[in-house]
Amino acid sequence: MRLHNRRIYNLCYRFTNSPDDAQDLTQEVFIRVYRTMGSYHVEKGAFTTWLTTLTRNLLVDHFRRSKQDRVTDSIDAGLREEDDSLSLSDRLEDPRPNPDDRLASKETQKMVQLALARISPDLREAVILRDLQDMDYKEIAQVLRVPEGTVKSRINRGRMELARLLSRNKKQASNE
Amino acid sequence: MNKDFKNGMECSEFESLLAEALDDALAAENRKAFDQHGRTCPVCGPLFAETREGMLMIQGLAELEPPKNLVHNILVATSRKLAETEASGEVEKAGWLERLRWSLRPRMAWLMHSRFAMSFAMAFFSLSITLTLAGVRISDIKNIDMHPNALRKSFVLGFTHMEAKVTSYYENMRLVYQVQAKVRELKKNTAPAPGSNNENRQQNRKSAPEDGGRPKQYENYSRERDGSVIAETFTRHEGAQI
Repeated sequence: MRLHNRRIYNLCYRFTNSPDDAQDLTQEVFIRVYRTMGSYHVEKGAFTTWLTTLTRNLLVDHFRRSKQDRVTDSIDAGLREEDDSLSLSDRLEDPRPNPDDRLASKETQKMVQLALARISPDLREAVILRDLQDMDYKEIAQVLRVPEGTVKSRINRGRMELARLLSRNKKQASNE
Repeated sequence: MNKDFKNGMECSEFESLLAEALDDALAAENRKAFDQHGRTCPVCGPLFAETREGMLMIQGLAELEPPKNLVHNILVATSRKLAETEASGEVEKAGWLERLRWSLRPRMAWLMHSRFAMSFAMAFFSLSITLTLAGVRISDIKNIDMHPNALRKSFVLGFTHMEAKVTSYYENMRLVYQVQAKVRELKKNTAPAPGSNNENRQQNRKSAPEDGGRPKQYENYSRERDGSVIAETFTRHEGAQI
């Protein structure tokens, strides 16, 4: 359990953008695992894939329930909160290796997380599974129950959307 | 996406290879054509750059440390669920009596507390002693006919006996009260005149000693050999008139 705990928590947090929801969902995942352990068969695939499928189904349920009320908070709102800190261009491009760099990196991470929360759930889950959970296309296709081609297309579109969102906010921040 | 064919590759083909190209998983000949197309196509070049930027941004997200209490919470939640599942499984298998026992279990759990258990034990002990002293035997209870008709009969019989006893008691009490009333009436009728009664009482008082009904009675606790008294007490019997 300790082995998968961190992975599941990260997956839930990156998808929901809420530490509380991530914690609740991680607990729920493990409760379901205990309850449905009998339905897992080795021949169907790796345990990690099965666990990720289970988590993804829960995340989809959660998304439908909450309708992304909290997640759709504007990324601009997030930026305004940090108005008194570094500018967006500083956050994204500042290469200085000083203590501020760590703060900038933290701010950048927050911005990327907010941007990730804004892209559509279909694209978001594909991107998270590929770039954060390091799953291969075949496994992602199995989890999302879509063809591999669709998986690749979603990943590309997700990455593009994210880059566009960040770029747009970067421009807005530099204009301010 | 346009359908331009540049450097041996269409834009749609470029897009389909985008993911593999970013993973550095393209074959050498494909990679060359892909790179050439990306450099010359005004749509696909920026598309590749944008996608790459997005990928790097996401991959730059650090892995988060889950809350410290998460593992503990999971263990608590799963063990509780597991216990509930096991309990429900056992209950399903059991008969109706067992299921009833399971359903009562949480409500009756307080009875299993040591304080209550000790009280029940003491109560049982006292009851058994009382029954033994009263001559009641458990074997007698076993021999009781539990047929509804027999039970009804014994109940009616018991009720009749009890009714008879109550009636008899009531009748006796009534007789006693009647006799008492009669005696009081007779006394009233035969009593002397009120004036003569007062004179008798005054005479009695005069004949009695001044300090109460009885004379002083001395008690000697210690005496010398010659009979002289060292210490003495006396008791006074006040108002002891008969």
